[in-house]
Amino acid sequence: MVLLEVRGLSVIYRTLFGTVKALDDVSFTLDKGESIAVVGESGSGKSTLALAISRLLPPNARYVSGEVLFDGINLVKLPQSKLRMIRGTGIFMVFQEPANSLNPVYKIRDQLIEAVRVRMIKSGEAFDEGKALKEIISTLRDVRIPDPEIIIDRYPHQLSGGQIQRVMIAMGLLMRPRLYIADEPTSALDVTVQAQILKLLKDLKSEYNLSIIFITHDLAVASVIGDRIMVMYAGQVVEEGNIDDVVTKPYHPYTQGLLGSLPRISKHEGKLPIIGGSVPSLINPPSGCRFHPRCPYATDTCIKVVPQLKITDNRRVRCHLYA
Amino acid sequence: MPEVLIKTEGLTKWFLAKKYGLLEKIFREKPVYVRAVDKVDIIVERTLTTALVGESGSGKTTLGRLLTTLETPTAGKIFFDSIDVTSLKGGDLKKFRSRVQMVFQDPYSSLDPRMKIRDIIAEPLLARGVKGRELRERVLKIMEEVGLEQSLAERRPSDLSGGQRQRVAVARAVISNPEFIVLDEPTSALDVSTQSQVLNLLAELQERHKLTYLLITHNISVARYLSDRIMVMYMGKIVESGETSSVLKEPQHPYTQALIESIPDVGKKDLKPPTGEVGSLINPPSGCRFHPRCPFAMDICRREEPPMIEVKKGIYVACWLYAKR
Repeated sequence: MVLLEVRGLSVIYRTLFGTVKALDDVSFTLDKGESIAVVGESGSGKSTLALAISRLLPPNARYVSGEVLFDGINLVKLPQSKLRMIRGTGIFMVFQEPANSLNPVYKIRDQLIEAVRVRMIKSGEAFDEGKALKEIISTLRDVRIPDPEIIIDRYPHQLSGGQIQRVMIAMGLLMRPRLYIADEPTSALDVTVQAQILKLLKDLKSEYNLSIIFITHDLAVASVIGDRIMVMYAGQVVEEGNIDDVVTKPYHPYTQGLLGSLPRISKHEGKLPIIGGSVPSLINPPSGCRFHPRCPYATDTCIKVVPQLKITDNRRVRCHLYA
Repeated sequence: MPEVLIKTEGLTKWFLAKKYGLLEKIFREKPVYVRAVDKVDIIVERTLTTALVGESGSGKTTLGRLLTTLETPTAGKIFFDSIDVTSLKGGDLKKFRSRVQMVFQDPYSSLDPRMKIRDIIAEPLLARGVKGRELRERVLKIMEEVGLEQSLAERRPSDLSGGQRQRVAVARAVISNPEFIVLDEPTSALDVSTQSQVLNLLAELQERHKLTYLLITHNISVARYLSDRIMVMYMGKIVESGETSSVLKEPQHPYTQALIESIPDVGKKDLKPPTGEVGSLINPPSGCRFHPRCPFAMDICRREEPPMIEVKKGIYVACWLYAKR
């Protein structure tokens, strides 16, 4: 069952220096209960994609073309009043900087009660504060928050980064969204906390049939959380497929480069493989294939002709090598 | 056997957790301390990289800052090349400081945005009285060595990418020919593809200039690449130390084991993180500080602090599991 379908999505930012083509013709689908990891370096457009799906783009951004079909409804065209029905209970998003996601002047208790109230009102249930509180405590316990009865009476600044991130995940659970978008939710956290959260998300996915879009720059994290992986480069999807297939046999030279640059050897065994050059400007992206200036296999065709996403072995790859 | 460059004895740094002024003194309140580094004995060997790994709040950055004299220890001693650094003052301290350098985590805030790249890199030499043509030549030479184009000399940090900025920070650290460099999370603000470029550069410079590194990182794969020795820190204490490949392959301390089980990897599907939260550094747990989270905790772990035990040749672990009874 398809929950989300993104079709030919293109987004630009207007800046003082020119028009930034942040997303170019991005398409993918996500089933119910499925997780997809979106991987790329800074400037690849992965965060813009998350914001574009949840209609949270900043004012200088514009949808150029494409559709975001959530349960068959095109979110790109939806008026703000209707979006309220989708946000929170339909799509819930967790940001990289958890500290800014909570309101600093309200206690955790009030912010979580509001989440439950919103859900109950939307689903037509009668709101009961005692019942809501019980649910909040048990959910906080699920996300491994120690002493939830004490924690809920604290303000956000009294919690650690890991605790706030877990409160946000708990809020997501209380809202019972169908699509959970997480933008680098664990990058600012320690590995042990990251591991706890990844484990929890996986448990929740199977328990609540949650669909997850997990945005990360870390292929290793992607490999733990994702059923599928979508690699982005300079605003485009360059490779997409089953996670195990892609990490064991990457097709696109950029995916190969990313996997190769994970340090797994010691300096005594030699140099780390690198991807030469740097991420291109999206105001004037390179001609042809956007990766050609850094690609070891680049030919004349790559400089002149824009490669299309082609299906090869159950996988989509944007590269002339596989045309 | 490489010789010892740095040795610490009972090195301790406590920070005041709360203001302790006249009023508090008059009302006879007890000052509250955070025990960032608590009675740490380490050695750093010459020309090798010693990695210091641990979670945030474990005290690894404080330990690095103590070794470069950016912090004054509350107690304990630091010996650098057999000189007692903690007793140095004035001119001697300045002379000592020319032998150590530091590269910071965030190249976006560690470089002065109003200075030209040339001046940023030249600053350590200026402080030592190098001037004129020699200064210019040495700056250009080091820029070439770290892979920065000469044309960047007149630019400012805002014109540079993250990777280029970190190269500037590395150039600034190496230009005065120090013996010892503390690398505080040198690649954690960089993208993966840039990270490997900087790691290659650091390895190359170490080889060429016979540098001794202390690599502070929470990223185990960075430690695996760059380091020869590794020290694992938990709540202000070193819990395990030894040769990097051996510690990463066969971690002995339950905390090191949990830490390594938490690291995601391509193709690894199950992570086994430790349960619970890091305890309070103001009131650290009694006995072994890891005991509330340790699956093997015994009675003695709650009562007494474990000693450092050599479990294998060169592998030291602070854990009661390995004590001979």
